[in-house]
Amino acid sequence: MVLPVVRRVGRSLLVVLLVTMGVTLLLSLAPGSVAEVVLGPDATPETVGAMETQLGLDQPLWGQYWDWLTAAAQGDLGNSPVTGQSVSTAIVERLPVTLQLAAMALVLALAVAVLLAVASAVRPGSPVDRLINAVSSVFLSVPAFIAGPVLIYFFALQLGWFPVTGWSPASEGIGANLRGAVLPTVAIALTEIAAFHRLLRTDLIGTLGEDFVGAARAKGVSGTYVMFRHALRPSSFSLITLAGINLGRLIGGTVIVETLFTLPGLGQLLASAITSRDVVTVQGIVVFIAVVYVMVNMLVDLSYGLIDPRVRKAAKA
Amino acid sequence: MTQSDVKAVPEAAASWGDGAREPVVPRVSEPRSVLVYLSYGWLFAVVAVALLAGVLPLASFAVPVGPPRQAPQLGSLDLLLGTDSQGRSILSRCAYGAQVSLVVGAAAGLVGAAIGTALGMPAGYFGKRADSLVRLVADAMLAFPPLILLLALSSILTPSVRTLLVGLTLLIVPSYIRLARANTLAWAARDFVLAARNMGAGHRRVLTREIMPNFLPTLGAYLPVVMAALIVAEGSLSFLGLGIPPPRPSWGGMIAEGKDSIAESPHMVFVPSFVIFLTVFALNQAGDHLRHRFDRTLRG
Repeated sequence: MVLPVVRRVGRSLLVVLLVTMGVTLLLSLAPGSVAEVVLGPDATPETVGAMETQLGLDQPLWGQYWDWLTAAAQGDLGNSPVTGQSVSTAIVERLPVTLQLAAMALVLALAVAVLLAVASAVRPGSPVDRLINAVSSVFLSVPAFIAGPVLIYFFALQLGWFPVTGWSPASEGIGANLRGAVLPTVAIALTEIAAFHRLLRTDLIGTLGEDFVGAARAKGVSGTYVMFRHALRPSSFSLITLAGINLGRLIGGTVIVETLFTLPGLGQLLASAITSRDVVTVQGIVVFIAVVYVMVNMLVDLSYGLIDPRVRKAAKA
Repeated sequence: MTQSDVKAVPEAAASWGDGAREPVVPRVSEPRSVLVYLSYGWLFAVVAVALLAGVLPLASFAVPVGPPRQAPQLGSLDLLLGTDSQGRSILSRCAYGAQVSLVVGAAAGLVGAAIGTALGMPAGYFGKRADSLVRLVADAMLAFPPLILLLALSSILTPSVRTLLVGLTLLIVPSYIRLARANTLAWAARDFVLAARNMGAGHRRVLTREIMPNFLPTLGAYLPVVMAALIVAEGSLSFLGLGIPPPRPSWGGMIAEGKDSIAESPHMVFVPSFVIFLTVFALNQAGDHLRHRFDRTLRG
């Protein structure tokens, strides 16, 4: 059990290292230096030089990378040359909104997808299954930047159920906070509902054809009990993997909805940092997101041992 | 499927053992839903309009054809889908926007698939060091959530079609590395590959003439889905104002432009949204259809 875990963790650390190198390399590709990019075309050579010294850009690339990495390992992602604020502080300030959106969307998508997949798999090919499949195909083709405006038009402008834009923090009342979060959450969850439903439906149909399900049925166990207690768990492995992988798309979706609904999250910070050419902030956020993403997927892989006794046994043997 | 393969790659076909051939039971022709045919029809129409946009009797995408924010109306072709905030024809802008979406989707998809296959095949075939190195690179590339990678790129490079192509290609490469690697692994263990090796074929010949022809249809079947994802990515980027720079119209940019006046003239958002939706939907349907035909692992 220990060795595979160590190996998996080591591999993730290697990937994280490569990711940070990649980002540093990517930013060094910028035409001109980062200082020129930040200061814009009107900057004098003196100010550019001063900023290059300040950011350590006069050192060779390896030196820059090493300085950045040692600082980043201690939680210091540098200071934004545009706002002067510490990037780490900015990320910590903005994180709760993005985290809440992503978590709500993931929970919503999983809950709806499990219900739809169960309803589909009860009788594959039935009218109910075909209807759900059709809905799922439609959802799969609605990216967040389409779902967002359309939801705003119908549910915020026409029906007035939800606010068009804005965010009220959970500390100022859960109700208002949730009301503001509903539309953005639904906008990014739609695609995931479809993706999760498709996968779980296929896996469930496969599991329901196995002998142990037949045996449970023959014992007289009710259909609902077989579905939820016998079939759902062994069918959910690839679903959990996909949830980990699709978290990436979800994070991309939060950038879109945070911009659209003007929510003070990480995605909005990233978008505004790009507009103001604040490369240091962009670097910090991109690395932060990539590292979180790698870590989540590592935990997903490691969690198999917890969910599936067969994996535990195989690892021991 | 076997028929066309025999014609296309006689060497590979000749080396297939009897055991490798598919059982000679006529394939049960599944009743394909009307939707699949409609999807192919829509894709064909979009490609045709994009190709012929310059020839068709459409107004220029940059010139006002009427009062701004006109709702869709019958009568004039240019006003059929309404006008945008500057009075430009939305029909014409959708047609020219299709060029961008299709070029970006097709070019980045094909180039990314080619690079990914070229890297993934040797990884799966030679294994060991090459394999773990290529897999590590693929893992690192996959560690960036798609849109985040594109945003990072657009923060340092000026938005242009070329920047977009580079970024989108980078998105596709790791997935195809994994696909090609897995497929190569599966085929490299087959007897006909061993036979070819024993007959003195070099690694390069085995890879390109024996293994590759077998999995190309499978990999190709993933292209429509990949293109759909790329069109969505391009749309997201243009929606954020970081994709195709104006004045060239793009579907995502049109939605971004229209979203501020969605209360008064919703058609400015709904028309391009519907076009993207239909295209992505059609590509997904086509992808499902092709994958069911060509991906052996999906056959029940």
